[in-house]
Amino acid sequence: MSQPLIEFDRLSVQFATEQGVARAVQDVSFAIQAGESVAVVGESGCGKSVTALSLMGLLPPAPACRLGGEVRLDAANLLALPPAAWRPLRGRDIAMVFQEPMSALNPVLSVGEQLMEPLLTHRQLSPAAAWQQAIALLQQVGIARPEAIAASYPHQLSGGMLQRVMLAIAISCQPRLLIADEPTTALDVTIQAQILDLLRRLQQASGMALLLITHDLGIVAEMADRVVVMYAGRVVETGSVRDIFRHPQHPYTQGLLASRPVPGRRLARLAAIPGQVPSPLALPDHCAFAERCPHARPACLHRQPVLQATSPTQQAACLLLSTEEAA
Amino acid sequence: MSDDTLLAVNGLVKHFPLHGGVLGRQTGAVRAVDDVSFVVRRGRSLGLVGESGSGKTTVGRTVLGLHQKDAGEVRFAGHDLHALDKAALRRLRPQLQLVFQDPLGSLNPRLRVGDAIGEALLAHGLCPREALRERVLAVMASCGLGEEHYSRYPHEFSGGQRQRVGIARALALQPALIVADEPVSALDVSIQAQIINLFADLKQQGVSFLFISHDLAVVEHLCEDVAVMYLGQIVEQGSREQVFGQPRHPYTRALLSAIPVADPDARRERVVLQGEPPSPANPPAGCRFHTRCPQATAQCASVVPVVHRVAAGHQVRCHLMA
Repeated sequence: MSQPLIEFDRLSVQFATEQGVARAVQDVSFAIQAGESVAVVGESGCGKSVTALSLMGLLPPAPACRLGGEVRLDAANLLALPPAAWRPLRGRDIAMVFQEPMSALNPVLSVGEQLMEPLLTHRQLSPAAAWQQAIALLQQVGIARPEAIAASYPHQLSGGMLQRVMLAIAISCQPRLLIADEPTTALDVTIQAQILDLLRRLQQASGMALLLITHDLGIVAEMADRVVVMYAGRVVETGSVRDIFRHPQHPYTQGLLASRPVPGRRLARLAAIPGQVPSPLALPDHCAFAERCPHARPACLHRQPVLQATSPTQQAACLLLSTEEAA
Repeated sequence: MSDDTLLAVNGLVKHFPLHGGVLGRQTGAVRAVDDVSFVVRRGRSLGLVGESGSGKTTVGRTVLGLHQKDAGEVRFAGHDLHALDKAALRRLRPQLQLVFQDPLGSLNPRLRVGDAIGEALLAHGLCPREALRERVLAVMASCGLGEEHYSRYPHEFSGGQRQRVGIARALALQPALIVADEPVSALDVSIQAQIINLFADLKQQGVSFLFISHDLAVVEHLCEDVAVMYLGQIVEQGSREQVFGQPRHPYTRALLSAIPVADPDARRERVVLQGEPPSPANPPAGCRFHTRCPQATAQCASVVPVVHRVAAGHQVRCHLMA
C-alpha cells in the first residue's frame, strides 16, 4: 500500500478538568488513504470528534489538553507543529464542516465574504477573481441564486442552505481531506438526503478523501469505504464497510447494529445494550465494554484488549477473539 | 364512533398570530396546524411523523390543552377536552400524560426524582402519603430505576436515566394515553434501544401512545398506525403496513426513500426532493407540497386536494388519488 494521506499513530488526548483527568482518546491508530472515505462511528463521548479536531490543530493547548502519539499528514507529524505552521494547512490541505453551520459561520459577515476569505489567503486571488470564484462555488454546491445568497447573511438562510455554504467554503481550496463532523445531524431527513448526495458528488469530482464522523449507521453504510468503531476513547473495531455490517467481530459493534430498528424487518424487541458508557473521568484499566458485554469473561475485567487482525481487512480489540484467551 | 376510540381529533386548527410594525398589529399567522383529524384507538399507538415545522409538536400540545385550539374538536374517552370546565379537566388529567424530548428541562432541579414522580399522585389524591414511597418505587422499578435512585436529583442522572424518570412520572398516574414528543431523539443509539423497549413493555400493559417523532424507523417499530404531516396537514395516514408498505402520497414516498439504510448492499432508489419546505406562515396555494412534488401538475398549484380514501383506513390528501 502506498503512503497513506493521514495516519493516526497511537494518538491519545487527555483533558485536565476540575474533576480530574478525562481520557478522551487513548491509543488510537488508523490511516486514511488518498481519496478514501473513512467513517468514525460511536456514541457521544467516545472520542470521535476529539480525534477529528486533533487533525485540525483545534484542541486547546497544554496544560489543559495533553496529546500523545502522532498524527501524520504525508508522513510529517502534525502534533509537533507550532501554532503558526497550522495556518497554511487548514483549509488548503484539510478542511472541515461541523454539525452546527450556524455557529461555525460568522454572523456579521456576508456568505460571499466568508467564501472569499480562504481564496484570498490560500490561493492569493484578487478580490474580483475571488468573488467570481465564490459565485462558482455556490453554484457547484447546488445553490440556485448564487449572487443573492452570496450577498446574504447566515441568519437569513436555512440549516440545509448553510450546510451547503459550509461545504462550498470547505472545498474552495481543493483540500485533499474533508472532515465532516455529524454534517447532517441537525437537518431534516429530506435535506439530509440532499447534502449526502452533494457530498458524494463533490468527492467524486475532486477525488478528496473524506473523514466522516457520525453516530448514524445508515449514513456509514451509504458513504464509507472503511469504518472505525470507537468506544470509550479507543478503537474497538475497524474494517471495510462490508466487514463491519456483514461480519461484525466486536460485541459492541454487534450490539450497536442490533440496537436500531430496521425498516421493514420488525422484531418484537430491540437487542439493547444494557447499562451506559463509562465516564472518561473513570475509565477502567480493563476492557471498557466488559460491564455491558453479554459475552464478558473473568479475563475481560483484568486486561485491556488490543486491536488484532481477524481478517486481512478487519481488526477488533476483544479478548474473546484472541486464541490464547479462548484456550 | 366505535367503542375502542380513545382519542379523536377532528378538524383541529391552530394558528399562531404574527405581529409586526410599530403598532404591533397582527400581520399574518403561522398556520401550524390546519384541519388535522385522526384517531388513537385503545391498546394501539399512533405515530405522528414529519419534519421540523410540520406542526406535529403543536398537534401534541394542542391535544393536551397546552395550546388553545382555534377550531376543531379533541375528544378523549368521549369528553370534549376543550369544552370541559377546570375541575372536570383536572379529574381527567391523570389519564392523559406527556413525555418530553428533554427530560432535564421538564424536571425540577431541586426536587428529588422520587418526589417528582410522586408529586402528581399526591396532587390528584390518587395515593395516601403513607403508601406513596412504595407506589413510586414500584413505578420506578417498572421503568428500570432502582431504590438507590429515589433520593437523587435530576442532574445526577444520565440522559437515558432521566428519560426513564420522565416516563415513570407520566406512568405513575396510570394513564390511558401518553403523548410522547420525540422521546428518544436526544439519546445515544444504545440507550435509545433501551427506552424503545420500555415503551414496548408499556404498550403490552395497555397504554396507548401518541408518538411524535421524525424518526420513521422508530415509529415503524412501535406504532400500529401512522400519520404523516407536511406543513400543518396530514398528507397520509393508515396502518403501519399501509403507510410503510404501500405509501401512496409522493411526500411519504420521498420521506421513506430518504432514510439512510444500514446496509452497504441495499439497493437505493432514492427520490431526492428538491428545495426546502416552505414557511408555514406562507404555505403555497393549492397542494402545500406541490412546490417540491416530483409529480405535481397544474391543478396541484391552484386546487386544494381533498382527502381520498384509497383503502379501508388508508387516507391520502393528493390529487393523484382522484
